[in-house]
Amino acid sequence: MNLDEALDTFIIEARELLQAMEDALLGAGREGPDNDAVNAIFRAAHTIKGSAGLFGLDGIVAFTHVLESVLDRARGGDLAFDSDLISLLLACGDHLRILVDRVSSGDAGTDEAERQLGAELVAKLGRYMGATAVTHPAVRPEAASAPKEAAERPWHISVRFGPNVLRNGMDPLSFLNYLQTIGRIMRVEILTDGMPDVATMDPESCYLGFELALVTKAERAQIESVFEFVRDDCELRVLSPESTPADYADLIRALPEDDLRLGEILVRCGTLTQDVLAHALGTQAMEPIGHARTIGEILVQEGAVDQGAVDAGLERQRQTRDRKGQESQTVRVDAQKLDLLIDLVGELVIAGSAVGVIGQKHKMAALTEAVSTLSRLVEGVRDRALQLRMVQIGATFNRFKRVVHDVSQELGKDIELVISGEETELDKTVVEQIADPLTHLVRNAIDHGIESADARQAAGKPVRGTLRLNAFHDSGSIVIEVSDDGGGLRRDRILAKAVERGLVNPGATLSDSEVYGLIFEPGFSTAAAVTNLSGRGVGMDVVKRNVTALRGTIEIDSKEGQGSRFSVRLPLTLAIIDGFLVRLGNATFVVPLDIVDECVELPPENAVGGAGRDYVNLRGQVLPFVRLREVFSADGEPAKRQNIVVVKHANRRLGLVVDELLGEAQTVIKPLGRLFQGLSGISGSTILGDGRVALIVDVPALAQGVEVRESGALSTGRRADMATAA
Amino acid sequence: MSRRKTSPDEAGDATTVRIDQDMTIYTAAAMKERLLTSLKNGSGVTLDLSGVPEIDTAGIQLLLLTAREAERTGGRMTIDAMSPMVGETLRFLNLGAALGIAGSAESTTEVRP
Repeated sequence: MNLDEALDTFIIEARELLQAMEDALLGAGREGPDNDAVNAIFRAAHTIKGSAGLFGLDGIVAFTHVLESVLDRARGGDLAFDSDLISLLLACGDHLRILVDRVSSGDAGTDEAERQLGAELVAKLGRYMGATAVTHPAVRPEAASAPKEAAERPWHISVRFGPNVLRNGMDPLSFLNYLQTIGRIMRVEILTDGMPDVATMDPESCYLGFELALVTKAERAQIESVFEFVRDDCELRVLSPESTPADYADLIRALPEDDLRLGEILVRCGTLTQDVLAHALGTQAMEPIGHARTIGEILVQEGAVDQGAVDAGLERQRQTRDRKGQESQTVRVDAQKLDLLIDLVGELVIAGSAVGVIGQKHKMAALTEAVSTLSRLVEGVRDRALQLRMVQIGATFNRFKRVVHDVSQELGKDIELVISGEETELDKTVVEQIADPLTHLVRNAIDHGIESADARQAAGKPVRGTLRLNAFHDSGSIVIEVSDDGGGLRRDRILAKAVERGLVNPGATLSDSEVYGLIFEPGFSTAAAVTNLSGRGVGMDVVKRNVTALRGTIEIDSKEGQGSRFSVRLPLTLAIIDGFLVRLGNATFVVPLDIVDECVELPPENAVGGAGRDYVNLRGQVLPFVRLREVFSADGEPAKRQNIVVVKHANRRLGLVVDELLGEAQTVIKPLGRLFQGLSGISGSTILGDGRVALIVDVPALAQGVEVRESGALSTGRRADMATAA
Repeated sequence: MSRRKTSPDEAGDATTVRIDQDMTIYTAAAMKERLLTSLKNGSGVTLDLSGVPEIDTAGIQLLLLTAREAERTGGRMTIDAMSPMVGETLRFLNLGAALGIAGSAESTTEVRP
């Protein structure tokens, strides 16, 4: 395996393990995690340490080593998992994640703040270590990883690295370091016999052999797995503590070096005593002189006597089989490949409808029939392809366990998170973009929604607050609910505040949902106290904007004293939308249908543009509009009777002046090429049934442009006034 | 990149070479040249490795090669200073004697039968 690839795998794996560790920690009830969870946490730390050791990531190894030691104590029942320890372990997980991120960004160094944080965490962990001293694994390793019940036993390892290991980016020293994570290396002897003379010695080839005396609780398979990465590139012999002198004699003979010298080295390693050596070499001497044994013979014999090696081989095969079994269940696919597939399927949909158009035009019954079968299949393919991008929302929900844990601790509230509907699927892109707004809603619910323990008690509610996250599908969209059993929204206070800020006329009658909708106004907050988390009035408007950007909506349902529910409704996918086609000159443009409010005719008096003339009176309200002809420099004469498409964005209405309204169409959104990415006013493109390209209008960008224009006009006007006054 | 200070200690005695860069697979080719050149006059070499930030198997292998070559040409390689990283690594590998590190209990000859 290429080292870079291996490192990528390590990074992905480490992130998954850290996530598993965090889940296990957060899944712990008040009694602390159960045995399985503790083991899962320990395994995660242990595996990360092991793999990090392989890549020589000493920082990670050193840190996880301490972490692992504490976990080992906890696993052995010497330590209680209280909330302090869990918080500390979570912090350690975060720190590790930063370290792993650093590896992935190829940044070898650590900055001072990080180092300090790491040292602090190690110090805190040290308090849980009790009598066991914290040691650096490279100096004096603890055999922390081995099962408790096994006793430490002496093994002998003999390894000859192949000439190419260094060139392949493997450093034999890293393997020795890694070996220290499973046991103590009592003695290392380096053999240089394989090194040719100065002239032919290639400094980039490896000629060294190592004889190691290892004391470990680990079994053969685990010891051999240390060398898994160089398996094909080294000669490895592991002699178990049960080995007989004859086994050693075999080893000595099998190795390329001089027998006597090897014997001496084994004695120096402490593996053999002088007596045993004499005995072993004695048997050799008894063999007829001149009987040269081939390597093959020796290997066969070794295979015959060494049951452990056979077991190890079987174990490896079993692991490979298991891994294969899992692979068939899930396949990791590059998200980009899926996007390409969706693109192609989109084009297929378009091409299919083009054929349908021809069939209808020429009134060919057979063709029309064939096309209808084809289009049914194509639609099936489209739906399946879109489904490929669907991911379960569970992973996103699980992240909130952490948010709830952290925030409720910070605020000193006791809050339980109840998650349901985590198997509900939605588009990957949507999932990625909804996490932030959801976080905000969750924080808001914890901070403002759920009251303090005292207030809850006074209200006769259970002291422990409940926060619910729920998701379900509802006619082509997904609904994500964040609900709490807190105090609910205070209708009167919101209304009072809105009147005070001039958002609502005093005495106006508003429905509940209209009143609740006010909290999404920028800078709106009724919180008496501003906390670290929320209450500054920033946030809810951002939530609303983000959800709207995903073509979604938010509804609020609230009962004072009983709690509130925020329902976020999102389209299932962003890849295909309902579009509204309009014509500008010779070109067709698409406006997302969801944001289109109505269409009106452009009054003739506004047909000609000019400063300050881009407004119409729409039923008593001022409607600013944009002449898309000008924005996109459409060619050809403008139509005699132009139309205004009234769109709504972030609660503002805006008119788009177009030549002709063409009607609705399913639109497969294709992102713009890199060359056009900086283009403002266009958010994507699509292909029409007749094969022509249509551009999708970026309404938020246009709305922003209008805002700038208006404020500009305002200030110019003011300057003009001042000039007159002077 | 690397600073090279080659000065004869005493007349006819070992040359002292100070190395101020990583001794890894990346520098191995150049390092081999440099170490062997230092042995040219047949009187061995004294290495100052206190400025070596990083050493890997390739570097250790070169030290072993140099030690062997020094002996073959009738001299001796000694190391009189090491950075902490190099020191820790060589101690871990029990190479004190083989590489002529000052203060090592065993002598070079005992290691090589």
